[in-house]
Amino acid sequence: MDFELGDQLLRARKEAREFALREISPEVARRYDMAEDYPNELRKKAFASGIVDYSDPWKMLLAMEEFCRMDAGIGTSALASLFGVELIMLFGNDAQKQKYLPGVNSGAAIMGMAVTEPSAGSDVAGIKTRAVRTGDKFLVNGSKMFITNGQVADFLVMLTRTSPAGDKRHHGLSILIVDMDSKGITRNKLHGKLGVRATNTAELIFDNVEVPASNLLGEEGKGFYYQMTFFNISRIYVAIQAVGIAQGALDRTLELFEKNQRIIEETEREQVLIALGEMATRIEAARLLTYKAASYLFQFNPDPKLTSMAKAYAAEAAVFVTEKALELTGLEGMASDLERSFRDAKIMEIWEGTSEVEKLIIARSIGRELRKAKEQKVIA
Amino acid sequence: MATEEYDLLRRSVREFSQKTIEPVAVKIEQNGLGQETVDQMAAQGFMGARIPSEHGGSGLDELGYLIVLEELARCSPSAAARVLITNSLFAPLLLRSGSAPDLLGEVASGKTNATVSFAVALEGHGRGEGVTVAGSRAKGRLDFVLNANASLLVGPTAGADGKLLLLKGGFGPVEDYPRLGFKGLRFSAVQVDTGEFEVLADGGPKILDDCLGAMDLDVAAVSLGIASGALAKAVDYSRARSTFEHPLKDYEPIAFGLSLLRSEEEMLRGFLYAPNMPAEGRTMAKVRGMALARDATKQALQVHGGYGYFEDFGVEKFYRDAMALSILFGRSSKDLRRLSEAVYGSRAGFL
Repeated sequence: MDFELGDQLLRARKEAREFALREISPEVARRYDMAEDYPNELRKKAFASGIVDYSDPWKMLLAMEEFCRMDAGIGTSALASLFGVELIMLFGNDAQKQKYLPGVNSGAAIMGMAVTEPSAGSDVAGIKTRAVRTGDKFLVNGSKMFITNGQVADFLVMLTRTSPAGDKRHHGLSILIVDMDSKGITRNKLHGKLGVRATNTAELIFDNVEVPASNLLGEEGKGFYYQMTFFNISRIYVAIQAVGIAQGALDRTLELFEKNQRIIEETEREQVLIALGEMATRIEAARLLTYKAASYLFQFNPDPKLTSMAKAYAAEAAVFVTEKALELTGLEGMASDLERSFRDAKIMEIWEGTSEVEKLIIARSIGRELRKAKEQKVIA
Repeated sequence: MATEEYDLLRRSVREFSQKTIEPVAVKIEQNGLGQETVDQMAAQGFMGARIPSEHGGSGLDELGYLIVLEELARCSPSAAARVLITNSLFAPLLLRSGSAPDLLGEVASGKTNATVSFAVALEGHGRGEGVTVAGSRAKGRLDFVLNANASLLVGPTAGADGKLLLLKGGFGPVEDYPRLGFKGLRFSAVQVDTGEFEVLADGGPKILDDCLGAMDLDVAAVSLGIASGALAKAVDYSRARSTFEHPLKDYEPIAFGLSLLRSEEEMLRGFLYAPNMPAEGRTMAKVRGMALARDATKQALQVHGGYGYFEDFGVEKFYRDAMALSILFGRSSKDLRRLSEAVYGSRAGFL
């Protein structure tokens, strides 16, 4: 067992850190936060710098951590312009890969993933958007909600219902690749998010949108399974976003303590020291869990239980640490970037599976493991 | 007032709040607390709730005032904060000095906006050179002023033994801070360069400290309103929203979690409005109230899922405001030290 990243990854982390410190200054982050703008120029710059390198998932993970350490909204937008790409990589055919991957890999194109609907969030199988096959195309009707990159994406991978829900609601779902310049798509940018305001979030309405049958991803009816496979990947990135937010909040707390004589006196108090100790511990625990879950995934052996543990724990750590940071720094903290960290952190407990959903997954996984161990008569 | 009168007052403030404030609650967050809403609150007597009637206020007693704060905060914590600043800070400071009593009537009418710079009485800040008086002019900068659009401002001059000034003009916001909470009110640094002022008293920081220390129950009432408003929204939402073909309320974690928080809400309400509260009870109510506001708003947002993260549903503001309230009006170590002293009957928790 080795807990070190190795020289190459340490260099990658340093590069990402330097880029983030240079480009995602508090002023820049605050401007995007206030305007609720998508940082497209910054995203292109990150691509041009070579920091965005999808061929090395560890590099991407570290970049996400370091970017979100400065600002989770900009970090997410700059690095997740290919949100959903793993679905194409895993389940797409050669023609689909050739058509869609080069654009997003180079940063020229932006993609997104559309699952959530106005009346279906955690309940993925409850989606109602219909895709009816007629000849060589699907006719899509319905709406999608809270879609990250929804307004700026060139194309989406989208979960749809292709046959009525029978006894098993998660049957009959399929994923389509939808070109966003297709006729019949209305995109409404959603305003007024609590945090991660530099991410683009939209409501999408599909009115008789024609999608070529060749844009069906993998097999018809397997969409739910593909989607769950995807969440086991994307949740790792949410976990690392949360680790970044929490680390950034601790950084800023210590910076404020250093800058401010009056608060320095505060740092001598045991109440404050104990809070700092707890913040640092939770961040480290969240980071270790996330790296462990990532190492399984990156070796093509994902462990959904670990992934959900990392995601739920890191999200809660981010909320805890940002709250404590504000408590410890008071007015100075509230008038600084820390207030944004606090607002950003909360979404981590909601998107890509709420903390409650993650914990159910964990409990069911350990139940299954226990039953399996008993059947095989191995000592668990 | 008799119990029935308090009940009647609560019903009427709640009705006002739901009919008048709730429909503009999101606008208050986006564009600030509008004069129209202030006028409507003034017409109900809320702007001068605690100002004696001989000075043009409503002369409400303490319990009545707490009811007003709680019920306003239930729909808009920003609206409650404006009433709080006016009645728990500005008015007592003016009344105590005996200066400019005519201004109290103007403030109670909602026509004049007044605020107080009280950051010096909080913990963990050390910014700014402060205001100094030289001859007939007051000059300098006051940091962290909530409700910075006001045209009257009470604030301290620089130094531990600074004076308390009433500024009547020649000041204004120069730098807006990021606004975590109370977005209906401007939160800024204020630049002062004026001859229009009077000295209310010596020992400004100490007076502000005492004034903040005397508003424990007022802060507890706003906390309770925030918790109550957020939980009511979460209970309603969990009735209406379904997931996996069942209403959210049918799920244990949601029903149990919200019910536990509702129990805490009712216990705090019972405690806050109980007659003969012991002296240390005031600090207890404040400390527990702020903690409840933060727990309840976090859970309420979570129950709303993605929708809770957007301002339209009116629940994220409670989450921000609960945190901002504990920073702006809570002084965790001072409060806990006071509480510890009450518990031990001697100095405690000071090393």
